[in-house]
Amino acid sequence: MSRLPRFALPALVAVLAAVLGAVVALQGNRPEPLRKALVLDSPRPLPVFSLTDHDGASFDRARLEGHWTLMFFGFTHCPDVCPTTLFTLARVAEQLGNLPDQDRPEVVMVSVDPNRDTPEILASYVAYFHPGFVGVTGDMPRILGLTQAMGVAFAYTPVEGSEGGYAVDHTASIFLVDPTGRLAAIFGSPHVADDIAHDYRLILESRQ
Amino acid sequence: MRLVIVAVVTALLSACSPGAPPASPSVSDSWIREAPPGAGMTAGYMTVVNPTDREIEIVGVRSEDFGSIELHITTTEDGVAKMRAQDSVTVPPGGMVVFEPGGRHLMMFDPVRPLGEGDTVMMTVVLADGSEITAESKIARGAHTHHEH
Ligand SMILES: [Cu+2]
Repeated sequence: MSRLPRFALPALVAVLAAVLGAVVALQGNRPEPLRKALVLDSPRPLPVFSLTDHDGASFDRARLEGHWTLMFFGFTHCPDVCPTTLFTLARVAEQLGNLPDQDRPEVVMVSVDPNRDTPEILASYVAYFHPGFVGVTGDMPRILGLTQAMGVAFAYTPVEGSEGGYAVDHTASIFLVDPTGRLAAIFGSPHVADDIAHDYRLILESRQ
Repeated sequence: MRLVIVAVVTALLSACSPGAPPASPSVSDSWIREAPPGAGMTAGYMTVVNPTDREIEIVGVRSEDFGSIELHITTTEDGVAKMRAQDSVTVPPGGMVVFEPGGRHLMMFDPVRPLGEGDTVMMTVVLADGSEITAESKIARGAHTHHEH
Protein backbone atom coordinates (compact mmCIF):
# COMPACT_ATOMS: atom_id res chain seq x y z
CA MET A 1 0.00 0.00 0.00
CA SER A 2 1.45 3.38 -1.02
CA ARG A 3 2.14 6.00 1.60
CA LEU A 4 -0.40 8.76 1.92
CA PRO A 5 0.76 12.28 1.16
CA ARG A 6 1.86 14.09 4.31
CA PHE A 7 -1.18 16.44 4.35
CA ALA A 8 -3.75 13.65 3.87
CA LEU A 9 -4.34 12.83 7.52
CA PRO A 10 -4.86 16.40 8.77
CA ALA A 11 -7.17 17.02 5.80
CA LEU A 12 -9.21 13.94 6.63
CA VAL A 13 -9.50 14.99 10.27
CA ALA A 14 -10.63 18.45 9.19
CA VAL A 15 -13.30 17.02 6.90
CA LEU A 16 -14.56 14.67 9.61
CA ALA A 17 -14.71 17.48 12.13
CA ALA A 18 -16.71 19.61 9.70
CA VAL A 19 -19.18 16.80 9.06
CA LEU A 20 -19.56 16.07 12.76
CA GLY A 21 -20.07 19.74 13.47
CA ALA A 22 -22.80 19.94 10.85
CA VAL A 23 -24.57 16.89 12.30
CA VAL A 24 -24.45 18.30 15.82
CA ALA A 25 -25.73 21.67 14.59
CA LEU A 26 -28.61 20.03 12.73
CA GLN A 27 -29.65 18.06 15.78
CA GLY A 28 -29.48 21.19 17.89
CA ASN A 29 -31.94 22.90 15.56
CA ARG A 30 -34.45 20.11 15.58
CA PRO A 31 -37.12 20.81 18.21
CA GLU A 32 -36.95 18.29 21.01
CA PRO A 33 -40.15 16.22 21.16
CA LEU A 34 -42.50 16.27 24.13
CA ARG A 35 -42.48 12.99 26.05
CA LYS A 36 -45.90 13.00 27.57
CA ALA A 37 -47.73 16.31 27.52
CA LEU A 38 -50.73 16.77 25.29
CA VAL A 39 -50.57 20.45 24.42
CA LEU A 40 -53.87 22.11 23.48
CA ASP A 41 -53.72 23.76 20.04
CA SER A 42 -55.40 26.78 21.54
CA PRO A 43 -55.29 27.11 25.33
CA ARG A 44 -58.75 27.00 26.89
CA PRO A 45 -59.70 29.66 29.45
CA LEU A 46 -60.97 28.19 32.72
CA PRO A 47 -64.39 29.32 33.86
CA VAL A 48 -64.89 31.68 36.77
CA PHE A 49 -64.83 29.58 39.92
CA SER A 50 -64.81 30.24 43.65
CA LEU A 51 -63.21 27.68 45.96
CA THR A 52 -61.27 27.69 49.24
CA ASP A 53 -57.59 26.94 49.80
CA HIS A 54 -56.18 24.95 52.72
CA ASP A 55 -55.72 28.14 54.75
CA GLY A 56 -59.40 28.96 54.36
CA ALA A 57 -58.67 31.80 51.90
CA SER A 58 -60.59 32.26 48.67
CA PHE A 59 -59.16 30.35 45.71
CA ASP A 60 -60.49 31.70 42.43
CA ARG A 61 -59.26 32.14 38.89
CA ALA A 62 -57.25 35.22 39.83
CA ARG A 63 -55.12 32.94 42.04
CA LEU A 64 -53.91 31.15 38.91
CA GLU A 65 -52.65 34.30 37.23
CA GLY A 66 -49.02 35.35 36.99
CA HIS A 67 -47.52 31.86 37.29
CA TRP A 68 -47.92 28.36 35.86
CA THR A 69 -49.97 25.80 37.77
CA LEU A 70 -49.86 22.00 37.82
CA MET A 71 -53.34 20.96 38.90
CA PHE A 72 -54.38 17.54 40.09
CA PHE A 73 -57.73 16.22 41.34
CA GLY A 74 -57.79 13.76 44.22
CA PHE A 75 -58.86 13.06 47.79
CA THR A 76 -57.08 12.47 51.07
CA HIS A 77 -58.62 9.03 51.73
CA CYS A 78 -56.92 7.78 48.56
CA PRO A 79 -54.29 5.20 49.51
CA ASP A 80 -52.61 4.46 46.19
CA VAL A 81 -52.95 6.88 43.28
CA CYS A 82 -53.01 10.23 45.10
CA PRO A 83 -49.93 9.80 47.32
CA THR A 84 -48.03 8.36 44.35
CA THR A 85 -48.96 11.36 42.19
CA LEU A 86 -48.18 13.89 44.91
CA PHE A 87 -44.73 12.37 45.52
CA THR A 88 -44.15 12.53 41.77
CA LEU A 89 -45.20 16.18 41.73
CA ALA A 90 -42.86 16.87 44.67
CA ARG A 91 -40.02 15.48 42.54
CA VAL A 92 -41.14 17.62 39.60
CA ALA A 93 -41.04 20.70 41.85
CA GLU A 94 -37.56 19.71 43.02
CA GLN A 95 -36.33 19.22 39.44
CA LEU A 96 -37.70 22.62 38.41
CA GLY A 97 -36.19 24.29 41.47
CA ASN A 98 -33.42 25.92 39.43
CA LEU A 99 -35.89 27.95 37.35
CA PRO A 100 -36.42 31.61 38.23
CA ASP A 101 -39.18 32.12 40.80
CA GLN A 102 -41.83 33.30 38.35
CA ASP A 103 -41.24 30.31 36.05
CA ARG A 104 -41.74 27.63 38.71
CA PRO A 105 -45.16 26.03 38.74
CA GLU A 106 -47.48 26.09 41.71
CA VAL A 107 -48.82 22.62 42.49
CA VAL A 108 -52.53 22.52 43.40
CA MET A 109 -54.57 19.52 44.49
CA VAL A 110 -58.31 20.06 44.14
CA SER A 111 -60.39 17.72 46.30
CA VAL A 112 -63.11 15.66 44.65
CA ASP A 113 -64.24 14.61 48.15
CA PRO A 114 -65.12 17.96 49.73
CA ASN A 115 -67.34 16.38 52.41
CA ARG A 116 -64.34 14.74 54.03
CA ASP A 117 -61.60 17.10 52.84
CA THR A 118 -61.91 20.23 54.93
CA PRO A 119 -59.30 22.98 54.55
CA GLU A 120 -57.75 21.85 57.87
CA ILE A 121 -57.36 18.26 56.72
CA LEU A 122 -55.97 19.37 53.36
CA ALA A 123 -53.48 21.68 55.08
CA SER A 124 -51.64 18.86 56.85
CA TYR A 125 -52.14 16.48 53.93
CA VAL A 126 -50.57 18.52 51.10
CA ALA A 127 -47.79 19.84 53.35
CA TYR A 128 -46.75 16.23 54.02
CA PHE A 129 -45.66 15.98 50.38
CA HIS A 130 -44.25 19.47 49.84
CA PRO A 131 -44.42 22.66 51.92
CA GLY A 132 -45.37 24.70 48.85
CA PHE A 133 -48.31 22.59 47.69
CA VAL A 134 -51.80 24.08 47.80
CA GLY A 135 -54.91 22.09 48.71
CA VAL A 136 -58.26 23.36 47.42
CA THR A 137 -61.79 22.40 48.39
CA GLY A 138 -65.28 23.89 48.38
CA ASP A 139 -68.88 22.82 48.26
CA MET A 140 -69.83 20.20 45.71
CA PRO A 141 -71.59 22.44 43.13
CA ARG A 142 -68.53 24.69 43.00
CA ILE A 143 -66.15 21.75 42.67
CA LEU A 144 -68.33 20.45 39.85
CA GLY A 145 -68.20 23.83 38.13
CA LEU A 146 -64.44 23.49 37.79
CA THR A 147 -64.19 19.75 37.12
CA GLN A 148 -66.82 19.80 34.37
CA ALA A 149 -65.12 22.70 32.63
CA MET A 150 -61.81 20.82 32.72
CA GLY A 151 -63.22 17.49 31.59
CA VAL A 152 -62.47 15.87 34.95
CA ALA A 153 -64.74 12.95 35.87
CA PHE A 154 -65.29 11.46 39.30
CA ALA A 155 -67.68 8.99 40.92
CA TYR A 156 -68.09 7.52 44.39
CA THR A 157 -67.83 3.77 45.00
CA PRO A 158 -68.21 1.92 48.31
CA VAL A 159 -65.13 0.34 49.89
CA GLU A 160 -65.93 -3.01 51.49
CA GLY A 161 -63.27 -3.08 54.16
CA SER A 162 -64.40 0.03 56.00
CA GLU A 163 -67.83 0.72 57.35
CA GLY A 164 -69.62 3.40 55.33
CA GLY A 165 -66.33 3.96 53.55
CA TYR A 166 -66.07 4.95 49.95
CA ALA A 167 -63.40 5.66 47.41
CA VAL A 168 -63.56 8.14 44.57
CA ASP A 169 -62.86 7.05 41.02
CA HIS A 170 -61.35 10.13 39.43
CA THR A 171 -59.47 11.46 36.45
CA ALA A 172 -55.80 10.87 37.21
CA SER A 173 -54.36 13.34 34.70
CA ILE A 174 -52.30 16.37 35.70
CA PHE A 175 -53.40 19.67 34.13
CA LEU A 176 -51.06 22.51 33.22
CA VAL A 177 -52.65 25.95 33.53
CA ASP A 178 -50.82 28.92 32.01
CA PRO A 179 -50.20 32.28 33.75
CA THR A 180 -53.36 33.77 32.25
CA GLY A 181 -55.56 31.01 33.72
CA ARG A 182 -55.95 28.95 30.57
CA LEU A 183 -55.64 25.18 30.36
CA ALA A 184 -52.48 24.70 28.28
CA ALA A 185 -51.61 21.00 28.45
CA ILE A 186 -52.62 17.68 29.99
CA PHE A 187 -50.32 14.93 31.30
CA GLY A 188 -51.95 11.50 31.23
CA SER A 189 -51.03 8.84 33.80
CA PRO A 190 -48.87 6.99 34.69
CA HIS A 191 -46.88 10.01 35.81
CA VAL A 192 -43.09 10.11 35.61
CA ALA A 193 -41.40 13.10 37.23
CA ASP A 194 -38.56 13.33 34.67
CA ASP A 195 -41.03 13.45 31.78
CA ILE A 196 -43.27 16.08 33.35
CA ALA A 197 -40.33 18.32 34.28
CA HIS A 198 -38.82 17.85 30.80
CA ASP A 199 -42.03 18.74 28.99
CA TYR A 200 -42.75 21.63 31.34
CA ARG A 201 -39.43 23.24 30.40
CA LEU A 202 -40.11 22.79 26.70
CA ILE A 203 -43.61 24.28 26.98
CA LEU A 204 -42.21 27.17 28.98
CA GLU A 205 -39.56 27.82 26.31
CA SER A 206 -42.11 27.65 23.52
CA ARG A 207 -44.10 30.41 25.22
CA GLN A 208 -41.13 32.78 25.62
CA MET B 1 -39.00 -43.74 70.91
CA ARG B 2 -35.75 -43.16 69.09
CA LEU B 3 -36.85 -45.57 66.42
CA VAL B 4 -40.02 -43.65 65.84
CA ILE B 5 -38.12 -40.37 65.41
CA VAL B 6 -35.73 -41.97 62.95
CA ALA B 7 -38.64 -43.35 61.03
CA VAL B 8 -40.34 -39.95 60.85
CA VAL B 9 -37.16 -38.20 59.76
CA THR B 10 -36.56 -40.82 57.10
CA ALA B 11 -40.08 -40.45 55.84
CA LEU B 12 -39.71 -36.66 55.67
CA LEU B 13 -36.39 -36.93 53.86
CA SER B 14 -37.72 -39.36 51.31
CA ALA B 15 -40.77 -37.17 50.71
CA CYS B 16 -38.49 -34.25 49.85
CA SER B 17 -35.98 -36.11 47.72
CA PRO B 18 -34.79 -36.56 45.08
CA GLY B 19 -32.65 -33.65 43.92
CA ALA B 20 -32.47 -30.10 45.27
CA PRO B 21 -34.97 -29.07 47.92
CA PRO B 22 -38.04 -27.74 46.09
CA ALA B 23 -38.29 -23.96 46.11
CA SER B 24 -41.50 -22.62 47.60
CA PRO B 25 -43.47 -19.42 46.91
CA SER B 26 -41.97 -16.32 48.50
CA VAL B 27 -42.77 -12.69 49.20
CA SER B 28 -40.12 -10.00 48.66
CA ASP B 29 -39.80 -6.19 48.41
CA SER B 30 -42.78 -5.70 50.66
CA TRP B 31 -43.41 -2.24 52.11
CA ILE B 32 -46.34 -0.28 53.45
CA ARG B 33 -46.88 3.37 52.73
CA GLU B 34 -46.80 5.56 55.82
CA ALA B 35 -50.33 6.99 55.92
CA PRO B 36 -50.22 10.74 55.19
CA PRO B 37 -51.97 12.83 57.88
CA GLY B 38 -55.73 12.56 57.51
CA ALA B 39 -55.59 9.63 55.09
CA GLY B 40 -56.97 7.01 57.49
CA MET B 41 -56.13 4.03 55.30
CA THR B 42 -53.01 3.17 53.39
CA ALA B 43 -51.59 0.78 50.81
CA GLY B 44 -49.03 -2.01 50.94
CA TYR B 45 -46.90 -3.43 48.14
CA MET B 46 -44.95 -6.64 47.53
CA THR B 47 -43.68 -9.10 44.95
CA VAL B 48 -44.92 -12.69 45.14
CA VAL B 49 -42.71 -15.20 43.34
CA ASN B 50 -43.93 -18.69 42.49
CA PRO B 51 -41.02 -21.00 41.58
CA THR B 52 -43.21 -24.10 41.72
CA ASP B 53 -44.71 -25.85 38.71
CA ARG B 54 -48.28 -25.20 39.87
CA GLU B 55 -50.18 -21.97 39.95
CA ILE B 56 -50.81 -20.50 43.37
CA GLU B 57 -53.74 -18.38 44.43
CA ILE B 58 -53.46 -15.61 47.01
CA VAL B 59 -56.76 -15.46 48.85
CA GLY B 60 -55.96 -13.08 51.66
CA VAL B 61 -53.43 -11.17 53.72
CA ARG B 62 -53.56 -10.50 57.43
CA SER B 63 -51.51 -8.68 60.01
CA GLU B 64 -51.91 -8.13 63.73
CA ASP B 65 -51.18 -4.47 63.08
CA PHE B 66 -54.21 -3.84 60.87
CA GLY B 67 -57.93 -4.40 61.37
CA SER B 68 -58.28 -5.79 57.88
CA ILE B 69 -56.36 -6.05 54.63
CA GLU B 70 -57.87 -6.42 51.15
CA LEU B 71 -56.42 -7.32 47.77
CA HIS B 72 -56.98 -4.30 45.51
CA ILE B 73 -56.14 -3.18 42.02
CA THR B 74 -56.08 0.29 40.53
CA THR B 75 -56.93 0.43 36.85
CA THR B 76 -57.11 3.46 34.62
CA GLU B 77 -59.81 3.63 31.95
CA ASP B 78 -60.26 6.73 29.80
CA GLY B 79 -57.94 8.57 32.16
CA VAL B 80 -60.08 7.72 35.21
CA ALA B 81 -58.31 5.77 37.98
CA LYS B 82 -60.52 3.21 39.72
CA MET B 83 -59.69 1.08 42.72
CA ARG B 84 -61.43 -2.27 43.13
CA ALA B 85 -61.23 -5.19 45.57
CA GLN B 86 -60.29 -8.63 44.23
CA ASP B 87 -61.20 -11.93 45.87
CA SER B 88 -57.95 -13.57 44.88
CA VAL B 89 -54.81 -13.12 42.83
CA THR B 90 -53.26 -15.97 40.85
CA VAL B 91 -49.50 -16.32 40.41
CA PRO B 92 -48.62 -18.55 37.43
CA PRO B 93 -46.14 -21.44 37.74
CA GLY B 94 -42.60 -20.10 37.46
CA GLY B 95 -43.96 -16.56 37.47
CA MET B 96 -44.51 -13.61 39.77
CA VAL B 97 -47.05 -10.94 40.55
CA VAL B 98 -45.93 -7.44 41.48
CA PHE B 99 -48.00 -5.22 43.75
CA GLU B 100 -46.82 -1.65 43.06
CA PRO B 101 -48.03 1.96 43.26
CA GLY B 102 -50.73 2.67 40.70
CA GLY B 103 -51.53 -1.03 40.20
CA ARG B 104 -52.15 -3.99 42.45
CA HIS B 105 -51.94 -3.12 46.12
CA LEU B 106 -52.90 -4.28 49.56
CA MET B 107 -55.49 -2.01 51.09
CA MET B 108 -54.66 -1.71 54.78
CA PHE B 109 -57.50 -0.64 57.07
CA ASP B 110 -57.59 0.39 60.72
CA PRO B 111 -53.98 0.28 61.97
CA VAL B 112 -54.01 -0.78 65.61
CA ARG B 113 -50.95 1.30 66.51
CA PRO B 114 -49.34 4.43 65.06
CA LEU B 115 -46.99 3.39 62.26
CA GLY B 116 -44.26 5.66 60.98
CA GLU B 117 -41.37 5.38 58.56
CA GLY B 118 -38.87 2.76 59.70
CA ASP B 119 -41.38 0.68 61.67
CA THR B 120 -41.82 -2.93 60.65
CA VAL B 121 -44.98 -4.96 60.36
CA MET B 122 -45.37 -8.71 60.02
CA MET B 123 -47.81 -9.79 57.30
CA THR B 124 -49.12 -13.23 56.48
CA VAL B 125 -50.08 -14.01 52.91
CA VAL B 126 -52.66 -16.79 52.76
CA LEU B 127 -52.86 -19.14 49.76
CA ALA B 128 -55.88 -21.09 48.54
CA ASP B 129 -54.32 -24.44 49.57
CA GLY B 130 -54.18 -23.20 53.15
CA SER B 131 -50.46 -22.56 53.22
CA GLU B 132 -49.13 -19.23 54.41
CA ILE B 133 -46.14 -17.03 53.67
CA THR B 134 -44.92 -14.66 56.33
CA ALA B 135 -43.22 -11.43 55.31
CA GLU B 136 -41.73 -8.49 57.15
CA SER B 137 -42.77 -5.13 55.72
CA LYS B 138 -41.10 -1.81 56.33
CA ILE B 139 -43.19 1.32 56.69
CA ALA B 140 -41.89 3.88 54.19
CA ARG B 141 -42.96 7.31 53.01
CA GLY B 142 -42.80 5.95 49.50
CA ALA B 143 -41.23 9.00 47.91
CA HIS B 144 -39.70 6.75 45.29
CA THR B 145 -40.88 3.66 43.48
CA HIS B 146 -38.71 0.82 42.31
CA HIS B 147 -39.92 1.07 38.77
CA GLU B 148 -39.42 4.71 37.99
CA HIS B 149 -36.04 5.72 36.64
CU1 LIG C 1 -57.18 0.23 47.40
